[in-house]
Amino acid sequence: MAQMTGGEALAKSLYREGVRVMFGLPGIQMYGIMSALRDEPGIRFITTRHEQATGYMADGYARAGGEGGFGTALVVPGPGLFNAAGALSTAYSTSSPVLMVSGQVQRDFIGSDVGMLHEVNDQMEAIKPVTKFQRRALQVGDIPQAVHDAVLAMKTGRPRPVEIEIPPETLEEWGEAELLEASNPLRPAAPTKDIEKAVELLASAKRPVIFAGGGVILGDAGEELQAVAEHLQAGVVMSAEGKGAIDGRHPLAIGSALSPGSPTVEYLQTADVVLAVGSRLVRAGINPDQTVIQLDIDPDEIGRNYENAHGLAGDAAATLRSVLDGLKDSGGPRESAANTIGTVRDAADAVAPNTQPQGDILKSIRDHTPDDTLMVSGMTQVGYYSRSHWKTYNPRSFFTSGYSGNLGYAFPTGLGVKVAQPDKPVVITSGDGGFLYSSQELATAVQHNINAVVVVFNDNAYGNVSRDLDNMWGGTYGAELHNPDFVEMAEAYGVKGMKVDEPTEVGAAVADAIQLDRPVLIEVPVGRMPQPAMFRGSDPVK
Amino acid sequence: MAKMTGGEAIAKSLVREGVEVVFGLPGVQLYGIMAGLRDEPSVRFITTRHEQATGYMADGYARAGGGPGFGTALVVPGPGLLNAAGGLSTAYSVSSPVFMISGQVQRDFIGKDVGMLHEVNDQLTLIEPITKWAKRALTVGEIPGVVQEAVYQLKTGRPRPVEIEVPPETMEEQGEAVLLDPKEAVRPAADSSRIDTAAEMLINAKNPVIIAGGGVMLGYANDALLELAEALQAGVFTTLNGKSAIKWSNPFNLGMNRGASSSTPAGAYYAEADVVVGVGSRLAGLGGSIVPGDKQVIHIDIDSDEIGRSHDNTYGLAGDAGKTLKELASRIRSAGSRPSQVAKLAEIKSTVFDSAPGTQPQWDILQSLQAGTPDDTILIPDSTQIGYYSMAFWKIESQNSYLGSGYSGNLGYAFPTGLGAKVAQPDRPVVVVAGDGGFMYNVSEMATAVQHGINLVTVVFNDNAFGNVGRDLDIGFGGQYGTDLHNPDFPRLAKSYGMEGMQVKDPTKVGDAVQDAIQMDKPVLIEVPVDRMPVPGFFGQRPQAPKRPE
Repeated sequence: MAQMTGGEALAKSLYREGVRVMFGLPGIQMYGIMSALRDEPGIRFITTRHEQATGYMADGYARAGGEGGFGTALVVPGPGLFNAAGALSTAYSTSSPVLMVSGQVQRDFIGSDVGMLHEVNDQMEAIKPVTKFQRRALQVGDIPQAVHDAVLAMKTGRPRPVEIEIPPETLEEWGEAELLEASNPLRPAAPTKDIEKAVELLASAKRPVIFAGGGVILGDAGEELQAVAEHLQAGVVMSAEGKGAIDGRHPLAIGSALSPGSPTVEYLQTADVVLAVGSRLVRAGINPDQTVIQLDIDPDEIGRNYENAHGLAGDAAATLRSVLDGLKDSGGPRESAANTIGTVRDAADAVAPNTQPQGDILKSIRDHTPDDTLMVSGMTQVGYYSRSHWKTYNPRSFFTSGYSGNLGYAFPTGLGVKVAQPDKPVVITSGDGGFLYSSQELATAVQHNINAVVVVFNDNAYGNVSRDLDNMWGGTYGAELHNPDFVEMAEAYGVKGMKVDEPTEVGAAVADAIQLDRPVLIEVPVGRMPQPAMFRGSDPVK
Repeated sequence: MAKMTGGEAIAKSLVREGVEVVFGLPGVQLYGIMAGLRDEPSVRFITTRHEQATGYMADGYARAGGGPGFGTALVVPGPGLLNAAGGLSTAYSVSSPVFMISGQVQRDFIGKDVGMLHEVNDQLTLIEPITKWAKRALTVGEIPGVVQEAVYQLKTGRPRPVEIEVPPETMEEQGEAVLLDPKEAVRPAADSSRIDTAAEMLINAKNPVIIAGGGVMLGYANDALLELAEALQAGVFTTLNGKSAIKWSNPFNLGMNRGASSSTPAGAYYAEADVVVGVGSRLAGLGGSIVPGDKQVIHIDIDSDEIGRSHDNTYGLAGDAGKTLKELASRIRSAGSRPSQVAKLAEIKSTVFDSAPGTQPQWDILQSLQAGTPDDTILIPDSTQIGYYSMAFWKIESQNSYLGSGYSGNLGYAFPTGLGAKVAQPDRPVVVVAGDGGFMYNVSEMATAVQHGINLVTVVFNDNAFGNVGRDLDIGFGGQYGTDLHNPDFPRLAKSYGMEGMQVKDPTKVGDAVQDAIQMDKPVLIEVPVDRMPVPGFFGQRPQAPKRPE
């Protein structure tokens, strides 16, 4: 036991758990932790201009593999936490490990509805739908355990956001606390008998196919997945979140062009056994009579969207290792399927130019960016299209907002990605609508030298809404936008601003921007773009 | 019964309830309502650049007295509603009537955790702490009743945000619906016999004092408040939210309540009070009850839960402020007139600003702003030093003219709230006072101001820091950390949006620039570079790091 303030207990506990960067926005209830962070040189503090960015940056940092294995954010209570909640919604939907540290009102007033500064009663209840764990620490001595348990919750089972909240007196006052060692939980494989069953199904499968979801990436199971795929000579289809599970150029990689009726989905539907790893299987298009083996760390996900799945509840990497061992015991590697799969991939890729200008724009960016580029796909036509057609070569290098689909998530998430991976190029696609959600973080990029490149495709509209209303609802409404001069705006912040007049030549500008080693905004004026195939079927009810 | 889509049912129900403006941000689940609103030309739709602004603008619109007496917002479910929740938190804390309409995921998937677009399970739970009422409508036929009830909730009892949520199919499909007329909202006075008792207590009181909170403005009880003050010959102190309750020039107005104290005449006057009439106020500040000792309180509040929450010796009058105050005043008058206190109050009042010039540059800046703005100006003070100073020393001369963020204290609320206030009152000057930290929260809405011709004036006092935190950490915690900020070139930024942008070098001359800006009839940003400012005297003790125990 040692005497320390609650803020010190918090800062030291975070450091022990591996935290090296914190994204935060300070306020009056946070003085105890701010002064402790000041005195803890092992943690970098990045101040944002809106609490939403603390959550988004922590999420991007976590998913890009930032040091510590999770992202950490700090906000004031009430409106501060609410402001960050939209970002937690993305992190929740993408199973991203984000530790949100929130203030509280003064201890004696919690729950009394007196109306203390920033009071929301009850904030733990409010945050529940977007977190897997919540804990309030009222005493200095409670803090190390609260941090420990929160990190443990992120590291075990499905990685989703967690929240701890501490009132100001607890952060400021002195007390006895015992610091704890970092949690390093085992992530166990699925039960042996389930693995044996899966091995049996796969070994006897004539046309096994692997469907890789985001869990492969988050579980760092890419190598194991690839080994199983190679042993089975099974093609690997990846969801948008699963992009990079194996290198898109690998002979067994099929890609992510999963629109209904596409060559990818048709291929998937020819499988007699589908091994799905870390995916909700919502967009896969698997038929009900296909045999599905569903490997997921979260047992609740198994069978949720595909009732007859054979479940493997466990860690992706550990389970795949055991599956591979079992497969090796039951037979040697199969004859190469590279030719068949190559044909499928070519057919899948051949669809890419069908939607224009998205196809050419995406090709231009891919052709001009290094292989290790990290792509953050915004909620915009080019971003949507990239989910299907961006070629991804490495894990943790393609980012989405998951089912949460937050407009505007991309820019601040990309900043967090860049903080985690400062030596890799980070390219963010965004529309004019989405970009303005967090445009103030241009200041953060400059202040903290976060040299990401953001491409703003500007159609002066909430273009997806506008097009759909025109095409299906008898006319657009409320979706046209007046915009700033983006280049001028960027320059006003000290960010390099560029404009590219020919959208399909944007790649060259992106390549130049990456070389500048400073934050860059590239505006690309565009017209309305057609609906990509993946969205079809959303016609109005008659 | 008539056939209509759910979107039409919402739009038409809103029109019947008097809605003229909807602040919204459309999305894929809202196509049905967007089409319904498009075909309803009497409703103006103002698209924002972040959902937070839909809530803040609806709040500003409501509190500035817009349209039907409440503000209306429209957002997509999940992250859209969460993004707006901060705005609702301010509205909840200031008792502002905001009607939030949210989408939902597809009907059959609600609560299933399947992961539909924008799914958050469960939305109604997360929104509960900042709404007084919330309801989901699953069929077209339910919609008119749900809208009617939501507005009834806004207009009865304590006005706080309400939410309804409607899934996309319900908004898109055709169904049978019967449109409804607004339900009559009765706001009754407090129980008559209790008013008798309270009147008796006041008639016998030697030194009654009134504390006027935000409920006076929200309950349209300004005239009734004056009736009571005159009948009692009692001085009126205002709270932060209650600044618009009574004009500064009124002889009974003694300014912001700054507590009981022997060191100032106003403090002594409050200390001597034997009965305190609190109207539409929590009667609590950051340190708990603002009524000292065990003074007798008569607490008038539409929300019976507020009565006695912070002070024990309380006699409650649960009811509408205007009606209750009028009845109370009338009973007191009929007991005979009390000796005039006007001279005494004038003497006290003449000292209320004595300490004001002691905090600089805040005082000189505020004086300059006051001189540069007409009496009907609506001031929106963000969480910034000048905003804080205005709480005590800004003088009000018109209704609905000072809109704070209440106990919620949202950094950044002021600019979008000011936009909403200006939509409600396009002919009155609206001046937003923000710091660099706060202003940036909603910087994107400069595009909204330009697009919709919302011509407010925003003054950004720029100290390149979260300055309040920076100062407190330096003074009380051994050094600031994480509070220095890199900022854009503000005038250039404003111009890049198509606004007017200017810079004022001498902070104490800012009023001249504001005066010019009001005349321009376009949205204007004025940057005022400032240094760190001192703690105002009325703030009391700032937090200090506790000493290490021996």
